[in-house]
Amino acid sequence: MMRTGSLIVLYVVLLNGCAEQQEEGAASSDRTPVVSVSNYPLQYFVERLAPWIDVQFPADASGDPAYWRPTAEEISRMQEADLIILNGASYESWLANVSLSPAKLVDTSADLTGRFIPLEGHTTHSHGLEGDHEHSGTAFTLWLDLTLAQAQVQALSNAMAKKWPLRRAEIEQAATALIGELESLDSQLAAVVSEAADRLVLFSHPVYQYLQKRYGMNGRSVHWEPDAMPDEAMWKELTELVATHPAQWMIWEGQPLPEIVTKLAEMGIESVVFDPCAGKPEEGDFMTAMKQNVAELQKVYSPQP
Amino acid sequence: MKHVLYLAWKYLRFNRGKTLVLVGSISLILFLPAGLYVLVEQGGETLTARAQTTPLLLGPMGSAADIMLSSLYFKEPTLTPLTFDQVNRIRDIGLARGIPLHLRYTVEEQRIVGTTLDYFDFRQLGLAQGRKMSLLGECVLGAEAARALNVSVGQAVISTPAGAFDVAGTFPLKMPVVGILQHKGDADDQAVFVDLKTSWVIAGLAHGHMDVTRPDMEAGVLKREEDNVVANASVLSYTEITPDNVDSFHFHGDPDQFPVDAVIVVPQDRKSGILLRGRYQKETDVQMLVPLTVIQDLLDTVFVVRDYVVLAGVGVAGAAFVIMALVFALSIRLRQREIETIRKIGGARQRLRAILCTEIVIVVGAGIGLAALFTGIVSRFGNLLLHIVEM
Repeated sequence: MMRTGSLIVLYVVLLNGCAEQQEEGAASSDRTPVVSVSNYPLQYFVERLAPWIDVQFPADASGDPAYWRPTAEEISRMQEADLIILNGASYESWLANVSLSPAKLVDTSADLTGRFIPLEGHTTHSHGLEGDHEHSGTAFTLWLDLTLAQAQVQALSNAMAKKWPLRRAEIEQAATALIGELESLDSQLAAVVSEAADRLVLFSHPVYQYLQKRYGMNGRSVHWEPDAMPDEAMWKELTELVATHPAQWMIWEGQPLPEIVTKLAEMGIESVVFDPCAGKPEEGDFMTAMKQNVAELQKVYSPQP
Repeated sequence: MKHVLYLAWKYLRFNRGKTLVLVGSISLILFLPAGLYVLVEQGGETLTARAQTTPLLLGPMGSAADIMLSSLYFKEPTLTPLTFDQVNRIRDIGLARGIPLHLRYTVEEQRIVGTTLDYFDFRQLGLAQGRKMSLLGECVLGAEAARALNVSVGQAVISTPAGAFDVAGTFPLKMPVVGILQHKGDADDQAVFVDLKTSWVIAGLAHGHMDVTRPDMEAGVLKREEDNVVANASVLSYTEITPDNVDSFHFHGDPDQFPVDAVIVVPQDRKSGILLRGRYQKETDVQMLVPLTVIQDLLDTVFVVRDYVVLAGVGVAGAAFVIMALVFALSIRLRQREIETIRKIGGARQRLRAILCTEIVIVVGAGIGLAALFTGIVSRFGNLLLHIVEM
């Protein structure tokens, strides 16, 4: 019976057949390869591994790339890229609402899921009997743990070498060099923090989870912006936090307003900047920014006079 | 010879009614088996071409023909769908890439094909207007689908609800048309392409609504617990995805368990394809198919049926020609007086035979010519003719 039905459908399909196939011309193979990235560290890594690639960073102008909301036109441009490099760890929250070719997506943290840090304090919701679900994810500034950054570079290198096999040796050589530099930086950071690892610190924004975990920093986080004066409730929250966690340093994403610095100083809290570098720094590059971060942390973790 | 032709032609013209019936009968008797043969042969080639460009198909256990027809020609799937983790499994094996297909819904009569952009590259689909879908909820129409739905880029189409008894899941989703494909002459022309996630939205597996965790959404809250908010039925899902509400769309459940009807599997090379088929040989809930083999099995049956039809046609033609011979013989007998007159005015027996034979040759030749013309038309415009007949 099933076969008879299939045959009837086949006949209808068959009688509808017959037409010319049009083939689109294949894209020119001699054009400059294009890679799209979702944050600045990935842009830096790609540029180091393959300076001959045109790297597009569409979220660059949006402020924090983690909160970028792409337009249809921006996604259309991304669709034309040869590879789309992702940070993963729920960093690209926009990814669920766009159409991109899975064959082009490279999740640089796909093998790092066991090392993700889940975010806390998210409310779930449910609809009747469907069960709970939550709009949460994991901490995503993976690259602040420089061992994770090395793993991301390795994943990137593998994907790029697979995509451009003729340049495999060149890509792998550059990856080895970059991983070496990140290792060195990782050792420096570890050495700096180990000078006084039990020293209490505050983070101005909940983006330092991987930094804190990797280097054993004893820190607690508030949710402040460097360019906005916290309101009374936030100062009160800080006062209560400091009562149980008497830190003398607050680590900021960017240079805080002078009045914040002053008010913190009155509470006995000094300010330093550790730039997570999610967006392109105004001066220098990822490495120089990270070296500057190490220098800033030296102020926090230098032995007490 | 000129006189023979003249007399034969004059006779046929004078008896034009009889001549036309004879020519029409001969042409139809010849055209029916020949036309059917050409049409089936052409259709078979088209079917085989689409199957040839589809290396492997992963589908649920069940009729291979059904999986092939739904995946390649977008007929309504009848089998229980696979889960999306089968696509991830193919990716993880690393020998091929998987292109998922979700085919449960329609816009009027046009099938909605939920897939990824890899499908466009795989089938080499070119755009005639607009762009590919970029955001959730957008759709791209095949050339024939755009014509059938009478829409152009910038307008919208609405998915057709699954049925009156589907009270829990699907709801009509308004989808902006962002692109129309070039005419290709196959099933892709008839489809409405959306992102796989959009087809899950239509299926009710993902939806968007106002943020019920906000304090001002009390009216929509059934119960507020420490870290969970239970929404009541007054919280309606959006029926159109716009840039303003797209961020509110979310999945309920594990997307790995969401349905796909089949997966087009594109191996890296021939060896990878063989290895992959080997891996799936002992599976009990999914099957890996070679569409070309499935189509050839089906076509073999179709060709047997065609051969029977053609054979019957040849038999009928033989009988018809015997009857026609009889008609000619009787006609000669009826023309005895005319023949006698020609003889009496000096017409040789040989000349008379030549006139009669020429008449037969002209009639049969015209019938064959007309049948050849019809067959040529079917071979060139068969598709168009069928469309006209369908309308």
